[in-house]
Amino acid sequence: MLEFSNKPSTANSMLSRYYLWAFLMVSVLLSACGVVQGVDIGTLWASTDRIDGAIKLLTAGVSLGAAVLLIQLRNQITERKQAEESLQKNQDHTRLIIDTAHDAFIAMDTAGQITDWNPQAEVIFGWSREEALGRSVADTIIPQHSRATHKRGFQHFLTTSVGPVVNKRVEITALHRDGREFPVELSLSLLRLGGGDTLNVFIRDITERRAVERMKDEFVSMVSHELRTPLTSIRGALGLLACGMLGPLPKKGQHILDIAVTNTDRLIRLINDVLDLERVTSGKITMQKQRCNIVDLMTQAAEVMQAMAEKAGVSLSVSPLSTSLWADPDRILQTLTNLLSNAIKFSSSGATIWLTAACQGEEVVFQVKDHGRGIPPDKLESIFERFQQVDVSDCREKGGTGLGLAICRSIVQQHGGRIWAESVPGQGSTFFFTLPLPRETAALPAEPQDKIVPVSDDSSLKIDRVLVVEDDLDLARVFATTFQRHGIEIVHAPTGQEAIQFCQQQAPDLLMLDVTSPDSDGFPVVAWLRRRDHLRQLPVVVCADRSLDSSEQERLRLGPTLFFTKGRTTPEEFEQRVIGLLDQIVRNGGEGSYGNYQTHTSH
Amino acid sequence: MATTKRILVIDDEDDIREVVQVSLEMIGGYEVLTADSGDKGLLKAETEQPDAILLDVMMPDMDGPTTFQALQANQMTRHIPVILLTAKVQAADRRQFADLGVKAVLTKPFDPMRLTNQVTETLGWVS
Repeated sequence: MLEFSNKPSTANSMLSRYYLWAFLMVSVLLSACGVVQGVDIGTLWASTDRIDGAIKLLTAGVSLGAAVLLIQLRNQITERKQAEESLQKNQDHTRLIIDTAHDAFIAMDTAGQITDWNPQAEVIFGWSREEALGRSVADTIIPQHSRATHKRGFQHFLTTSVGPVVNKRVEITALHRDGREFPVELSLSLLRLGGGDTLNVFIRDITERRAVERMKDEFVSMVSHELRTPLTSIRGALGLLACGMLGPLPKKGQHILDIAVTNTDRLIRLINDVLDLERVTSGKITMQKQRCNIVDLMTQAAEVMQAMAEKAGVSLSVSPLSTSLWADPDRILQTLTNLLSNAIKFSSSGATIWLTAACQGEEVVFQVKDHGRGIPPDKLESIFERFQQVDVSDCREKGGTGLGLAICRSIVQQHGGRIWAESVPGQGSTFFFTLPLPRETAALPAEPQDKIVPVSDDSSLKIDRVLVVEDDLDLARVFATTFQRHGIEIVHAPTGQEAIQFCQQQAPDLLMLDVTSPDSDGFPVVAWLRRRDHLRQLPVVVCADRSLDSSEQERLRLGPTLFFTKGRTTPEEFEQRVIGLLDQIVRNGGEGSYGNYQTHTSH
Repeated sequence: MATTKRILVIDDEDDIREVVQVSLEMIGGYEVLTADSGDKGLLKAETEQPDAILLDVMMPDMDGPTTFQALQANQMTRHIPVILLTAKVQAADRRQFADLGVKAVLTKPFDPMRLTNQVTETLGWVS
């Protein structure tokens, strides 16, 4: 049973009641005096003693005025007491919600010190409220190995109001008082009040959820394996019989065997699709996004489906689009082949199927068009649901599983796109799906935070050669993604000072600078490097948020230097040119031979 | 006269081993050796020196990737090309296996004719 104390508000209420009665009594007394005086005035007014009458009149007026003021004062006090009671009630209510929440609630000030800590936080982290208040959040709930990154991110947030975890639900590893690390999901919000900013965090222990997810994964994997193992034997044995290797079969026997083979294949497809759909929709499969060429994807899809098209007597017409996407090529290929497969199944011999793509605004629109039987209007939406087909017999007659379009929709949606169909029954159908085009370098999605190795981490000294000086963690991740795609790890230095510290220990192969202002950290870093013989020819990539003038460029140049202006360069171009520079570094002999490079300077 | 190529099939499932053996022998004309575990496969690979190994991924005790690594670590067997057979169909899984350095990753269930053709093509043997 839930209880909370309201003693202070009861005491206030009693006191308020005494005041109220006192005021009423005084008011009534004064009013009575005023009335008596008023009556007396009438009698005295007739007498000759007008002065006495005037005094009595004045007294009556003062009495009445005082009574009115007292009543007003009483009203004000009553209202204030009511407001205080209401506020107290709200505070008690809020406190009760926080104290009985099933999630831990932690509030901290801008110094990162804990200012609130609810009972569930006591349970999850093992610190009592009294112990936790005033402690540093980082030292209390963040594991040692993540503490430096956390503190840097916190400082970055305080100065920029931008952070990778603010106003989002994120999963991190937390630390219990007993030293145990465990997974938590947290949501953090900033409260700006007159008295100072407060960061409020709700934290949920997701240890059990993770365990369930692991069990589910293992179950899916086990089912997948256990179903496939007997199917492998069945399909293999039937295949050997059907191909006549074990001796000829009578015609009827061959026909029955073909039925068995066809349906075994159908069962295999169904198992594949069920598992695939489960994994795609549950997010178990992360889209392995990378830069991929639409021409390659469309051509490859057509090649994969060519044999099926030829068998059906159908022509495939492909009009590829020459541009790049940020997508999982395997999954987009799966989507295209699925749509083409459907189109082939429902086209009559001699028909043509068109696969086209076009850029429209900030997205690319793919189209697969056929002249098949078409789709009734009431089925245009439902065909993207699981096990929904235009005709219930399609599964059997066309060999589909009824899951292909549901899988396509999941894949497209996980890429931030849309999928739909348009059709005129009897004349054919067109399936559309869109995928967003990458707009600029910063639009590229971030890699997980742990891919960026902080300078303070000793392990970084062993593997990292590209030094990125960037105070924006999100942008640093974008850079990291670009390099990691080419097997190159980076060292991230949020400040110029940390960049210099790194260079004092190890010479990077390339320096990447983010220049956002004339007093940006990049300038002193380059000036410092210029004074070191072994670093003064270091290749540099500069990303500026504006066009740099020639003197600024000169101040940032060491060895071969590339300049980029943010928003004016596509991710593809950025990657191509930077990797081109790195290739050149390798061709020219790697470390220690900076002076031999040809300078590539661009605006 | 060219000698018949010998393929070692390592799979813990008796039925699958037999189907693969029959397929490779009858369709491909290869000589097939079999082993029902990674341990036995390693031993047979060392002593019999097959021309190629078809290796199942999910096996108890010693799974396919571990067996492959052991084959690579042994000077007597590291030259033998290995093809993985797996029931895992996810592209990411296949890539992960391919990154081990095997010649190919083939998926289960398989069509016997297609399996034989894939093995022949992968190993560059004239069918």
